[in-house]
Amino acid sequence: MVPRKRLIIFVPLPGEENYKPFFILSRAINDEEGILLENKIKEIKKKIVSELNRIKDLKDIEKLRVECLGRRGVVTLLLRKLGMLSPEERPKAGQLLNQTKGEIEELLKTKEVEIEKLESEKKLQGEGVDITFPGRKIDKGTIHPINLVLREIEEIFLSLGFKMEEGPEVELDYYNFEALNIPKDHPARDDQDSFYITKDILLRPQTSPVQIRTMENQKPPVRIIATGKCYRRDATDSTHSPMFHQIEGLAVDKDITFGDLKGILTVFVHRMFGKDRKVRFRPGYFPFVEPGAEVDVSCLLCEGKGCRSCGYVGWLEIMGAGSVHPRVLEMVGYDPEEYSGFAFGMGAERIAMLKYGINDIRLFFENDLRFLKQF
Amino acid sequence: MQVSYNLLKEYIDIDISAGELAKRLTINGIVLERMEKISTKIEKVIVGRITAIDQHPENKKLSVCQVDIKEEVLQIICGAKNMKVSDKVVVALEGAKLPQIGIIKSKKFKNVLSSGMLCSASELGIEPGESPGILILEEDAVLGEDIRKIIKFDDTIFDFEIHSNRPDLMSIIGIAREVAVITDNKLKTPEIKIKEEDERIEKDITVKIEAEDLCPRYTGRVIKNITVGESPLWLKWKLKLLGARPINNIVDITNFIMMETGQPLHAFDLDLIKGKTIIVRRSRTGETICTLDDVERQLPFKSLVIADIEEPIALAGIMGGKHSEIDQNTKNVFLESAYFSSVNNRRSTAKFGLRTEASNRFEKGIDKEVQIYALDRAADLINKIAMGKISSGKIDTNKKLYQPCKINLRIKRVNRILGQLLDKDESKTKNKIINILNKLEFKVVEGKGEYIEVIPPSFRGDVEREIDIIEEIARIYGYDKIKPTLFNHTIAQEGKNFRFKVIDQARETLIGCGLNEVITYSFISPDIFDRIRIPEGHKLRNAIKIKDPMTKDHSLMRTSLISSLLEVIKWNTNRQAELVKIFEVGKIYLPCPEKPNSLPQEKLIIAGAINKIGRGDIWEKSLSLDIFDIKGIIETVFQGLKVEIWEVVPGNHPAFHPLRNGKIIMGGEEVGIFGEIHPEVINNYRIPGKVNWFEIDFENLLPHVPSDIKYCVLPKYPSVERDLAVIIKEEILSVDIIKTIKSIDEKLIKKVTLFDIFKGKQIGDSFKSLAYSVVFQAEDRTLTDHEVGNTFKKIREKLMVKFDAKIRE
Repeated sequence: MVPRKRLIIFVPLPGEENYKPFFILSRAINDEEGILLENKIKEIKKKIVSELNRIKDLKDIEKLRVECLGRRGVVTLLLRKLGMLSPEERPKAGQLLNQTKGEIEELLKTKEVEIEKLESEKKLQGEGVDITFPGRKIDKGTIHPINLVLREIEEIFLSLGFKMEEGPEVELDYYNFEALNIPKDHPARDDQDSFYITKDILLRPQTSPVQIRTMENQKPPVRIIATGKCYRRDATDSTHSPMFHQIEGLAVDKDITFGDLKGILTVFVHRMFGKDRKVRFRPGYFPFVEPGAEVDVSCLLCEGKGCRSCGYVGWLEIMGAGSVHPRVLEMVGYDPEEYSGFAFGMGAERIAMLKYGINDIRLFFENDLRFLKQF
Repeated sequence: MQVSYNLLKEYIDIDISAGELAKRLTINGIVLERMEKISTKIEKVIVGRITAIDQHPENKKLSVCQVDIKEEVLQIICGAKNMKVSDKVVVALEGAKLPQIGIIKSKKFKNVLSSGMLCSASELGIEPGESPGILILEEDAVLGEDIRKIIKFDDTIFDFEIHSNRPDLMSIIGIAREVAVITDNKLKTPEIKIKEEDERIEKDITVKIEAEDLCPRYTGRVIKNITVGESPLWLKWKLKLLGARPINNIVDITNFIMMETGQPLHAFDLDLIKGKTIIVRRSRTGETICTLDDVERQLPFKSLVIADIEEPIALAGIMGGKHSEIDQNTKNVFLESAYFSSVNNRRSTAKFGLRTEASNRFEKGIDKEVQIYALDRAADLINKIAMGKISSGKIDTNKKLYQPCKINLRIKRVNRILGQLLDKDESKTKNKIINILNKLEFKVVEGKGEYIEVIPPSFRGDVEREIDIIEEIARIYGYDKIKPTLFNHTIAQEGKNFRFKVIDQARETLIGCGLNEVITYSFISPDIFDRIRIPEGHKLRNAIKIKDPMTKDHSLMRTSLISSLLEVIKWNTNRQAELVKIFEVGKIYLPCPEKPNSLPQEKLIIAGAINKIGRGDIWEKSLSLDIFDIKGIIETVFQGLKVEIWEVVPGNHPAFHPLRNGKIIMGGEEVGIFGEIHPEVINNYRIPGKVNWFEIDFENLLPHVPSDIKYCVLPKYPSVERDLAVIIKEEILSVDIIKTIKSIDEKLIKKVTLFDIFKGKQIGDSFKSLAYSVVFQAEDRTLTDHEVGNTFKKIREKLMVKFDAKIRE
C-alpha cells in the first residue's frame, strides 16, 4: 500500500484574516485526514462568489484578485505545491487548478466590468448641462433677397440651356433705344424717364441693350439671360425706386416661334411660383418685340379669385415678352427671314415682392438687418 | 382713355356685361386700368318749364318761379339768376332725392312757400364743384319726363391704358371698333347733315401753309353768328363720363369731338384773326405767345405755330392762344382740324414741357383721314347747339394725305412666327386670317398663291410691315389659343461662366463669415467726398455726373462703396443693432478722362464692413476689433477661391487710419484694400465705435483665380518642426522675416507660421518679439537632425545679420 502523502498547506481563504491549515489529498479519505482538492476548490469558489457580491468598487476587486491569484494567493500557493504530488496525480490536479484559475479570473472580470459600468454611469450623472443653452453657431450671413431671387431665376434658365451675359449700366443711347427699334422721336421713347449723362449716354432704364450687344458679338443660336441694375427717373415711394433690377432673356435661332416663348415662360412660372399657377399671355406693346405680350400669373394670394393684392382681377402682371422684332434682327445683321426669336424681361423687385410678400420696395435698399436676416 | 359702358353702347351694340367686356378687351391687349361703377341716387326729378318769374317780396336775391310740370304748376323759390320765362328746367319735386342734398321738402322762405327745387348741374352730380346757375335744358326736352330718361345715371366708367403704338384707341370710336371685333356687331358712327349757308368761307379766311412738312393737311370751316353759352345737359354728362370738365358749348364740342373721333380740333374767334389769314409756319426768333393757360411763353425757334398776319395765335397741336380764345363775346369762329407731324409735336411738347390731350394724340400719330369727318361733325353740333351758321365750303389743303399701303402677308410666315397652325388646312387658315383682318377693317386683296395683299385702314398708322399684321392676327386669334411648345433643337451652351461662378463663390464665403449682403444705390452725393476725407483733386472725386438729377443725393455715380456701406451701418446702429457685418457686390463707375464721350469703366467691387466681432451672446461677447479680423475675412475669401499668392503692403487711402490700412498686391497689381476707417470719417457718419473695411477689385482679382484644381502628391516622408523667436525692431515687418527664413532653403522649408507676438519692457520699448514655427520637409527622404540643425543655424545667422535680430532660445 502506497503511503498517502499528506500535504499541509497554510493558505488563507479570500476575505478571511485567519490562516487555517488544511490538507489536500489526491484521493478521497475522510475529512479528519484531510480535504479533497476538489472540495477545497469548491470552497474557494464559493467564498469568492460571496466576496464578489459584497464588493462595490474596483479596489476591492483588485484586492480579491491578489488574494486568489497574486503571488501569495491561494490558487498560486496550491499550484506551487503541485510538485509534491505523485507524478500520476500531478497532471490532473494541475489541470484542475488552472481551470479554477481561469474561472476565478472570469468571475473577477465580469464583476469588474459591472462595477466599471456603474461607476461611469455615476460619473455621467454628475455631468448634467442645460441643453437649452444656445449653441456656439457660426452666425451665418444672408444673401440679399434681390440676389436670392436673381439666383433662383438664373438657375431655372441655366437649366433650360440659357447662358448668362452682362452689359454696362452706363449705356449708349444707341443700344438702349435705336437698336431696339426705338428711334429718336419715337412715341415710346420718354427721355424724361431716363437719367442722361450726355446726349448719347444714359443710365440704362432696362437690361434690353444686352440683347443687342450679345447679338452683335455672336451668331445664332443665341440663348442668354442677363440680370442687372437699371435706373429710371422715378421718385422713391413704396412701389418705385430710381434703381431696380431686371432679368432679360433672349433666344434666337432658326424656327423659334411665339409658341416656344409661351412654352419656356410657362415652365419658368411653374418652377418659380409652383405648378398650380396659371399663366396668361395677353397682347402688350414693346417696340423691340412683335407680337408683344404681357405675362400674367394667377394671383399667389387668392389663386385667381380676385383680392386686394391683384386689384381684384385675379392676375398679377410679372413680365413683358414677345417675338424679337425683325427690325431688331436686321439692326444686328441677322436675317429675319432665316432667324426668329423671343425676348422677355421682368423686374426682380416685383418678383421678390410677390414671392416673399413684401409690400414696400424701399426695404430692399434700406438694408435694415432685421429685414435682411429674414432671407 | 376714359369712357363709359353706356357711352360705348351709343356706337356699338354690346350684349355682354361691363365686367365681361373689360376682361375681353384686356385679353385683346386693351388693358383696363380702372373700372368704376357709378350710380347717382336720384328720384322724383323731372323736366319743367318756367311760366313766370317774380321777385321775392322780402328778399331781393330770391326769385319766385311758377313752374309747369305738365300735371300742375308749382311755385318754387330759386336763388339763381340765369333762367328766364319759358326755359325748360330740372325740377326736384316734394320728396325728391338728390345726391348732394338728400330729400327735398316743401318749405317756406320768408313766408313764401316753395314746393320743390330747381336743380343745377352740380346738384345733379353732373358737374364737380358748384355750378354758377341752374341747369337750363334744351327746348326739345319733354315736359314732365323723369330726368333718368335723359341721363343714364347708372353706368360703368372704364379707364384703359393705351399703348403708344395705338393712338387710334384714344377715342370712343377707336375703343368701339375693338368692341366690334369682340361682339361681331357693326360700328355705328354718328351721321352728319351739314347745312351750309350761301356765304362762302373764302370771304372770311385764307389759309397759307408755309411748313407743309410739319403740317401736311389743314382743314377748317367758318361758323358764324354763334351763341356761346353753357353746354346742353347731354353734352355735359358725356364730358363727365369722359373725364373732362365743361367750359362753354364751343370748347365742349371741340373737346367732345376730339374724344369721339381722336382728331384734336381748335376753335378760333374768327374776328380776332388779323388779316383774315391763317399762316401755318415755323416760329421766328424772339416770338412769344400767351397760351390759354395764361402763361406767356417764349417760342423756341422753328417750332410749328398757327399765326395770323401779325403773330402766332396758337401752338400747333398743343394749345391755343389767349388772344383768339372763344368767350361770351365770340360771334364767329374758325374751326381747325389738322394733321400735324408727330415728330414736331413731340419735340415741341418736350420743349414747352406742356402736354395736353391734343398734343398727346398728335405726338403718337392720328388717323390721316378723319380730319373732315371730325370737322363736319363739330360744325354740325355747333350749328345745332350754338345756333351757328356754317359758311359754305371748307379749307382742305391735302385731300390725299392718306395713301393706302399694300403689305404682303405670307400665310406660311404667320405659322412660322406664331408656331401654331391656325388650321391644318392652309386654305382654312387663310380664311380664318382674312376673317380676322376684315373684322379689324383691314382690306384684303387675295394674292396669287402663297400670300395675300393687306391694306390697313387709315387709323392704323402703326401697321407698316408683315410682322405688324401677324401680331394683329395673333391678338385677335387669342394668345391663349397658341400652343406652348419647347425648343426641340440645339441645346445651348456654356451655362454659368467662370466669372459668375467666382462671384458666387466669394459671396458664399462672405456669408459663411457671417456677413449680410446689402444692395445700395449706385448714386452718391458730391458731399460724401468731404465726409470720407477724399482730398480735392483726388481721382475718386472724378465721378460721372447725371445731367439733371432728381436730388443732390443722386447726382453722381459712385467711385467708391465706402459711403454707401457706412450709411447702412449708420442706419442699423441707429436702430439698436449692436453688431453690423455687411458686404456688397456692386459696381463703381470711373470716367475715362482721355475719352470723355466714351462709356465709363464699370468695375465690380466686393466690399465689406464690420463694426464688431463675436456673436454677442453668452459664449462670445461682441468685441471691439482690430484690422486682422477684416484681413482674416479677405484671407478666407482668397482661400475659398484658391488664390494663394499675394502680398500686403502698407496703404495710403485717405479714408483710413493712416497706420492701419493695407493694400493687397497680386502680380504687382493692387487687388484690394483693407483697414480701419479713419475715426474722423466714422465721426462724420455718427457711427459709434470703429468700422473695419475691406474691398476687393474683382476685375483685378479674377485673372489670379485658378479655374481648376491640381492635386499635389501627399508627402511620403515626415516633416520636422522647429520653433524660433526673434527680437527685432518694431518697424520690421513680419512678412520680411518670413520671406528671409524661406529664402534660406526654398526646397526644404515648407511653411513658416507666426505663432506668438510679445511686446514689453523686458525686450525694450521699440522692439517686438515674434515667434515662428518652421516646418522642414524633403520630398525624397527623411531629414536628419543634422540636416535640419544646419539649415536652422543658417536661418538664425541670416536673421541676426539682416535684421540685427536677437534670437531667443
